[in-house]
Amino acid sequence: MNTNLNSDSVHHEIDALLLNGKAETAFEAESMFLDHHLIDLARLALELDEETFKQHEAVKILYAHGSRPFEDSLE
Amino acid sequence: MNPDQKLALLTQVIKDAGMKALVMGGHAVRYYGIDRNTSDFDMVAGTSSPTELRKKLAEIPMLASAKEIPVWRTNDFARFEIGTLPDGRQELLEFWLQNHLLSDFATLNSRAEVGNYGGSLVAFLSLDDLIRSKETERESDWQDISLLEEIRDARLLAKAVDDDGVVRALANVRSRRGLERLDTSGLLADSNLIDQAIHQCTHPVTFAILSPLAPVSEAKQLVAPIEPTALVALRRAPFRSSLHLGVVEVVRRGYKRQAMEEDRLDKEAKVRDLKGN
Repeated sequence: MNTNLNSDSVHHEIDALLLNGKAETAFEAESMFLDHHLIDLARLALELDEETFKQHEAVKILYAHGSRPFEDSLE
Repeated sequence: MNPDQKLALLTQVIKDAGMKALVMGGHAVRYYGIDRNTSDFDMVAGTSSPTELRKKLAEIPMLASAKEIPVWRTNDFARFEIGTLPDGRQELLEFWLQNHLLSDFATLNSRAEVGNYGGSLVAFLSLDDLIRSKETERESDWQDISLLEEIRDARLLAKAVDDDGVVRALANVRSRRGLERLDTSGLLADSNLIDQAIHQCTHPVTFAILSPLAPVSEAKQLVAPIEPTALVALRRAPFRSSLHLGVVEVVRRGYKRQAMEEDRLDKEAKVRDLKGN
């Protein structure tokens, strides 16, 4: 397991960005978190299996900020 | 007169005055299929200087009472108040003459798309140029980009009726929806076409989308690099797995972050120029 990006600590880190005033909104805090951990996220894809990767809290946020899948699309 | 009709009228009187201009911004986004409200009229001007722009606009009776609003990028951009909206806000007509996200006007004009809007034929920035114009520091522009990319992918898929069209659609796909539609349409089965598409693609997100299908294939030239860890992950991830799609989003964010930084640096350089540093 990647020690730089523990699933259990993701929301603590995002909350801290809000609480210390570095981010003004949850969206901004999540964006800052993702940008800070881009290489860690790529590393997770190398280290974790499919199911564990999918369930990682950072990956869920990455998807939520990314391109929309079929079910949410324009059509 | 609704805003779409007003835009159409503005483009007509500007054209009648002998000035070339292409619509960009919110109305262009609406033209390409995203339903959103917009009150500003944003254009790229085909004039050589702000002075020439002012001179041309002054000849247009409809804009006789327009008031120029001071801006800091005086050589690149001009803003005019042309009325008051029902909610009391200014109604603005804005022109870009140049910026780092726009090609020269002749090139933009050669790629422009003319379509029916507000009851008239209006010339818009091409979809590719519009997407590029939105690679700014503003988060709202990136939300537009994600939707415009879906539309672009759908347009290319509709034209994928022969091998060249398939390669073009593959070599430009950027949205997750576009990827899913290519897959369900059976257009990802020919390894030779995929190899051609990877070789031709220039956008790192496209490369990230296609790479697991042909892990040894290389793009000729990407407009932005992919971080080495992400490259290794792409070569190992099963196509359309969560691992693959996750790395695609990593690459997408990396590209976005770099583009936002370039936009910020461009603004800072302009400010330094203005200050004479």
